[in-house]
Amino acid sequence: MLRIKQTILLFCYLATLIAVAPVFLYLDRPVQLLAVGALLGGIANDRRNRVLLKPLPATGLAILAFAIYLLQLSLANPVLPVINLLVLLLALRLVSDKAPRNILQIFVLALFAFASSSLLTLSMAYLGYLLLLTLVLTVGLVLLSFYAAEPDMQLKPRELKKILSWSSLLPVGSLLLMVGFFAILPRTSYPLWNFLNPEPTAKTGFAEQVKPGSFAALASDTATAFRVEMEQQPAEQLYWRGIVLNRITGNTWERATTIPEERVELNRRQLVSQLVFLEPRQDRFLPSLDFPLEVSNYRQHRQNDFVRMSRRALRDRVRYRVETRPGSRLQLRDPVKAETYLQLPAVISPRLQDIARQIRQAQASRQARRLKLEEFFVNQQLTYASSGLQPTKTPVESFLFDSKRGYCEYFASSFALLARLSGIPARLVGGYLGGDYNPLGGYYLVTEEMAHVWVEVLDDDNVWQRVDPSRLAINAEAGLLASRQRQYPWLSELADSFNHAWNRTVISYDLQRQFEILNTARRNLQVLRHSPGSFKPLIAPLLGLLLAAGIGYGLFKYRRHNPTRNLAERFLALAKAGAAVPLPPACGLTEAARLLQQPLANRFAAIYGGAIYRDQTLGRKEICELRQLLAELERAVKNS
Amino acid sequence: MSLLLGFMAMSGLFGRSNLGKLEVNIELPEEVFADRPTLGRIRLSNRRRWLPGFLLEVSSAGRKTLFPLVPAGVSAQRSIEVCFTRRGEQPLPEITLRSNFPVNFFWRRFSFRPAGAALVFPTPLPGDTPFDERAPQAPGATLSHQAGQDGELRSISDYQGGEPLKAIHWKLSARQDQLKVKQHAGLSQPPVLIDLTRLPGHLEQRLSRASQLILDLARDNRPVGLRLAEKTLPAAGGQKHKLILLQELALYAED
Repeated sequence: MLRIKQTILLFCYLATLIAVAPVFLYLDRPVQLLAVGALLGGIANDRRNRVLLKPLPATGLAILAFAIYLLQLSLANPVLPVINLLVLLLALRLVSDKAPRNILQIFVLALFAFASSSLLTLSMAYLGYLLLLTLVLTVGLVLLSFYAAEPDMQLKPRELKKILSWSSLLPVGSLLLMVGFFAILPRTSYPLWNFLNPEPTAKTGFAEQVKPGSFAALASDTATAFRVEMEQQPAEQLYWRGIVLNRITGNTWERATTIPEERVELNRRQLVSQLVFLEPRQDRFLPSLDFPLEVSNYRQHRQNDFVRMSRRALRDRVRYRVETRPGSRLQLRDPVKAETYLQLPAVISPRLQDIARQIRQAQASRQARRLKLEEFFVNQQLTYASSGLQPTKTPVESFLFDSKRGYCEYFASSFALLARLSGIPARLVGGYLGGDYNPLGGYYLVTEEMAHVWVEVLDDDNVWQRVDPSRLAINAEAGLLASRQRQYPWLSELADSFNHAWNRTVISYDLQRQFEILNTARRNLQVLRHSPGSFKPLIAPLLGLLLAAGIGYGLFKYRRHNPTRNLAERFLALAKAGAAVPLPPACGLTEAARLLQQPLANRFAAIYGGAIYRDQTLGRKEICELRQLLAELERAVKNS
Repeated sequence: MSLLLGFMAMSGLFGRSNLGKLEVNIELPEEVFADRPTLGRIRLSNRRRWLPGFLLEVSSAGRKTLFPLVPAGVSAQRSIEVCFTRRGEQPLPEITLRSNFPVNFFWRRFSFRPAGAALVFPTPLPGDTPFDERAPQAPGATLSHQAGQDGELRSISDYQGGEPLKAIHWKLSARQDQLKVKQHAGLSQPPVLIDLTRLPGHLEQRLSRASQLILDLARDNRPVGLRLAEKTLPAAGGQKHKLILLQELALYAED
């Protein structure tokens, strides 16, 4: 016999372990030690049937813990004190008396500690912990009902197994229903509890200012910037447009608020649809494949230079759809406004002015001057480097003539400045270059280290042309492009695609997504209504399904309405399993009962045979009695 | 929130199913006396095909008994104390079946009154009556084949309801899942006729005294008869005769 108390205590320890594990590393060191000590101490004392902490000291310590952590509570730090307090209370409960209500408290504290951990981390591991905790808590609550009804209850192992197996259906059903409720429960378009979340940790990859020479080295940040679900594109097209910097002050490129209007010449032959999942970031720029024509399913506004900006801070993950048509061209609507992009800093190095003068004198058209400028960059034998750079007050001049080493900001800002000096309207574009395509998930993974700056120059038709001066470096292939087109091992790809699926279906599931699904369903229904022909491929599988369901239902009804056959089959199977000698072929019920050597079996055969051999159907009462006899026989055979 | 709702829906479904397709019957012993607690049997049958019955608490007249687990298609039984306040044919007491399964937050219950009636005998009332002079167990007295209280342990039999609780063989009852009583040999004595009209007190008191006398005399193995206002039942022995006499008393002048 097993004591129900022992079983429920086991569930207490499990619930504590699962609830504390995800937050353990965030806890204060003393709380960590106390939690581990309380768990071990609780187990040891429960084994000896002793209580380490009496109710009065336990209450006193709980009040003390409240006082300590309530004092630490502030709007800036609302989560950690609460989690520490919850774990501390849980530890106290583990070493005090384990009456039914105390065990319920342990379960509730474990649940709250776990729920609060979602404010610290919502990684995919959370789902695993959630599944485990749901299983342990729901089965634990069922056992608690038994414990509360009779604390000294003892159960046979077979009975306990039955209780555990049936109660495990509860979490399974709850989780299945959870999926349904998750999909249909109304959501806010802005998370209500967001103020409790810690400040976003994502750094902006591209800066809102470009100031070459301000850093000696570029930090390599492998954090994910965004993922984009789309078809695979040629590598040279993977320029993700974020921000446009149109004004230069000293050595710094910035974004002016007054931007001349532009119009689009569409290339209708090619369309690239993207679904972007953007990680939290500190700016409001929405990156997308250069350049975004349409952005939908997200509240944003388009600026004149086709930069897209979110209407709210990007503190949490967002998703939006983008349409890009490669080959389309952006044209300045008013050619006079090209002057805006010829603005220069107050002080310019004579050496730069000389180069620009030579280019201006040699060529008349913007296109030819641009080619001349590119030729100059190639001749300078510049090297792409992201470390070992010396900060200087004249970064462009030093870069072009002295060190000849630099990263994209050096290349782009030097090129744009020289272009402007040479009479070519130019601006910088900040964003990302490259991306790792994950064929499993069908998306590009773009990390912060892929942040990049390039240049756009106006041609003679006032159309913006992309120029990436970093590609003119002598080591462009190895220094710039290699790190942006990596192929990860399939295991990493698999892990990342799971992570993406989690973010896609759970984290970024909001009111907008609910309406999207509703609209898609409505559209599909309309399509079916208006074009019945599209139904045709579905007819065969639907008929097959209906047929299978019909056969299944018929069999079910047949067995239900012919319980006699079912009972006889069960009886014979039982006799076959329980008889000391093998049953002869085509063995009758009476013979089987004789061989089974159980008085109940004889009674079964008598009732069954009494009705069937007189060509009568079994009555409801007789069927009930036969079922009971069978159940008792099954137990008797199992026990023997 | 979604998980919580899912859990609430599932626990509601489990709780509801747990009380479905159950049959509860109460079985009383042959001898039930008014105002005297008697041990009845609650038989709980689970008519479901798959789902066992969990934590089923059956209560009646303030007494309750718990069935922790009743497998599907199986009947289980437990003892429960019942007590009727009046003699005669009395309706069976109301039964309440309730359960806190699957979680101890809510109780689901339903109550019903089982069909049938119980025949309740008058409360045995000990008193100073002419027949209260039972012969002590003297040396040389012969042991009767009838049961009594004074002789040696003769056999173990099923509990009928009229036996004193101290006669219950608890150890054996626990082992066999059915109440057993110790039967002692009695000493043979001459027959007695109880005249109801000659007993002291008002009618109910007289019936109660007669009831006690019948029990005492039968236990002492004395053949006993009963004279009522309109008929006389001759003295005889045996359990069956005792029940006939008690039944006469139970239904006597009942309006």
